[in-house]
Amino acid sequence: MLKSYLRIYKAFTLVMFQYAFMALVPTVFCIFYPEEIKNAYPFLITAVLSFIIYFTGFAVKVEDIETIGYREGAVLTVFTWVMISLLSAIPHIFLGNLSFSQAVFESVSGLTGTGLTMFTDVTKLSKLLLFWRSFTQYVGSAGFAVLMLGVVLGPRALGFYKSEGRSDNLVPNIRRSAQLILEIYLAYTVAGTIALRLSGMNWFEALNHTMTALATGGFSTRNGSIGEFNNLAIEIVTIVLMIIGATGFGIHYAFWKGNIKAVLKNGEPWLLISSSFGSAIVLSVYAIGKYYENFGKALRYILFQTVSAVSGTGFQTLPLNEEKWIAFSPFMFILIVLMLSGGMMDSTSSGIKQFRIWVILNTLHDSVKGFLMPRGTVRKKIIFKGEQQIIFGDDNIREALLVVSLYLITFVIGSFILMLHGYGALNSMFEFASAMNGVGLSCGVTSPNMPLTAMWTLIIGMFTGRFEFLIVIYAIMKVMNDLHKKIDEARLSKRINSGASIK
Amino acid sequence: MNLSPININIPVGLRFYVVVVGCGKVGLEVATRLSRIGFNVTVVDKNPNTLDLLPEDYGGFIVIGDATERETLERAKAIKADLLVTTTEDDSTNYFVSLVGAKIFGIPRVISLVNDRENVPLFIKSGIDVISPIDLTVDTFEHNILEHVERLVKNSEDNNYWW
Amino acid sequence: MKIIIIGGERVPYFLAKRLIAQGYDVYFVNKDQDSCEEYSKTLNATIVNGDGTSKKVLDQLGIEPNDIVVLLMKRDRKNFFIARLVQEYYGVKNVVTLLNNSENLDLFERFGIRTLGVTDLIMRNLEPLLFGSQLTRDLEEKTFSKGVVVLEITLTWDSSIVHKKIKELSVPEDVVIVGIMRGDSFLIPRGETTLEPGDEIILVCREEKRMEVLSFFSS
Repeated sequence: MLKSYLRIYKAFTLVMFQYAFMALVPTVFCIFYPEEIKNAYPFLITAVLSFIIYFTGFAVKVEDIETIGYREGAVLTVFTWVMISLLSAIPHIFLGNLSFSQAVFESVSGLTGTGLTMFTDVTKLSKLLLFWRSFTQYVGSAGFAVLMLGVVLGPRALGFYKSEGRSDNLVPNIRRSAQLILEIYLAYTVAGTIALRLSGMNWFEALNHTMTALATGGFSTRNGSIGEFNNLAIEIVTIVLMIIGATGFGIHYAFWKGNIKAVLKNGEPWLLISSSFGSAIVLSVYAIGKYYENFGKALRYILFQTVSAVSGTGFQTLPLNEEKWIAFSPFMFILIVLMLSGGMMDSTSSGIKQFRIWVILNTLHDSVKGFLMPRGTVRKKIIFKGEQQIIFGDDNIREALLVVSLYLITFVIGSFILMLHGYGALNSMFEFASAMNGVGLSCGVTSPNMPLTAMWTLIIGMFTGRFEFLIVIYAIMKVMNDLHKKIDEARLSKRINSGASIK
Repeated sequence: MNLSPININIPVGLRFYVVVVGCGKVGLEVATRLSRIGFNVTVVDKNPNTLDLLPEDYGGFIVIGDATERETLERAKAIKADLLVTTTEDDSTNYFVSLVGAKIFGIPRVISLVNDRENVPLFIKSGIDVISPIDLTVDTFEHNILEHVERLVKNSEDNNYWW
Repeated sequence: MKIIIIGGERVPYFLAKRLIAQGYDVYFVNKDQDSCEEYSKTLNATIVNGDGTSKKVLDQLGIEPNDIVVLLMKRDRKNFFIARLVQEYYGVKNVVTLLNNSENLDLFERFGIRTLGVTDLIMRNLEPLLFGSQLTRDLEEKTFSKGVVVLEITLTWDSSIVHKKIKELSVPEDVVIVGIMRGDSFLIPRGETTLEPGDEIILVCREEKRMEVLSFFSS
């Protein structure tokens, strides 16, 4: 058992090595913004601490790491993320003048790709810190395991990979698949940055917004998010980037390989587009006259929000914390539903994920078919996931229902806790759904002055939502189980030793 | 093990695609090892339970289906395979799939497990490389036993082993 | 020269019977012990109870190059395997086999193995049924009120009018052969057209003549 925890620790220190470099990346911007040099020190502190942790891992040799199983992966993931969340808060404390809780909030909001912020005025912040916010979302959404698997440990890191929420295998070679994911991610980043630059942003803002759009995170360098630019081109490019971010890597790979047939046969893209666009159209029609003069204008704003919600990005072109919009109940309700449903599997989105909704719909369809056909008919269904076909079985259904239930239970508990703090029902549900599903749309509940208990409720919501609850539960259970065994062992040996004297 | 370790340098970034048919005792192990080396691997088996036995770090694809049906091999993208390995416990299945792979899908190299040594000549005549476990096992037994006897004879001072 | 039948359930029995009646030397290989025992009681053939895919069993038969091997196993892969075994090990030139999955035809043909595509055969027999009924129904709707009936008759192997040209037959009066469905083609008959077994002919005649027409064409 000890060996297994040593393995976890060693793997953790390897991630710390990566993370140290990650913490140093923002300092590169001192080249472009020399006045920022004085702000570089918190990143150096973080990097040095990470390196120190890395060196403590030398007690364990890399060759001793056998495969990290799924169970160990869970503990590794949760432990790593807790540590990284704490370390990532350091720049926020020093450069952002945030308290400990606020800094952890901002840090977790970054890594989980949520996007709720403690900063009331981001324009006053150091450029390095602004980049750091975007960068934490960029890396956290892709997951640390991708880099580990593709470059450092290879297939031995599969347990870590799966616990972080990745299940895609683009080519029959997991290491190569991880490399491909990184390539696709980087390629879109370059393209997106150029596109946003051409639409009117400066290079710095174009890069930051592309990063957070693809990461479906939603941190912005402006207080009014994308809405502040008031630029239709930017909004359209952003919608495209959000959809790209919410699309699974398997589908991206199939698309760029030219396998359009497979792409079209996947259920998720259809569901995502139809739910976000469909609801936007319905709401826009409803909004004519009441909120906007014409359909076009209504669609422009409403569609942006629905795509932002379902993809889990959280960019806003409307100030949703204003009374006017909170009172637009059908709109707010649809946003809550879209936030809960989430993006596609194997993308950077969180939420229940379109795949599970697709599974449930297929189960319903199958059930009805079974009712109509003669009893005892043998039915087998094959559904598309990326380029692969999987046989639709009971475990898919069970997993989908289990996870959906967990989301709903957590949603109920979290919203209720917020309501106990005095926030309105709709507001509480909206904000908690936003946190739990890593979205980041805010109706005003999130603020640096919010009560600490409410703040931590949201932090826990963001964290557990990122890992779809199960991993956190598994990790805690495994550790408790192991502790239990150790205690039993100790008790037993004590009894044996003392028993020897009683004869 | 009796085979000497092979020291071959596989260049990094080489793309080599293997389809392994049958995820039994042999197939599972072969697929896992090839995947660990870094090749692209797909395992085909008609029983999903045997495929579940693949280890955590297996990084290839799986296809659930009967490999004697064209559609299954198509799903496994056999047409792109550089090597086909058939490992089922039924020689007629191994033979059939090997030939479909070689002649219909044009896979350049096919290696097959042949369970009944009597069938080995047929496979060889048809251009399929053969791994015959019985032959290998018996050869190894023989080798071991003879080595042992040789040692005994060398070391014995008295006449225990002579008539 | 002998004929070796390997595998199958009831078909081998009747096949063997026929061949023996025609004077051939028949060998029988079947895995099912009960079937073998039953057959041994009534068939005058050499019956071997064993697995046809095993060379050991095949060795017992003393197979020679000009023997004919008939394979009737349920699985194409087994039939293929045995076919290749007898071709390579014993030099057998003539192998006939059942083919369950028509997709595999190319493989068998490549090695010179004759096949009988069962699935295709059944399909071919289903098609006219699928195809024909609609046709005659439409025709009937139009003609019924006028005292005319449309008949669909399938000619069997032992029909007396097959292998003859239509103009040679003494077809009853007031009846027209509208069409002949053969395989997946539809023929418009002329005097020169020869009727074949398996043909499904569509006739139009007056209601009163129905019995006469039916008995003529079904004899």
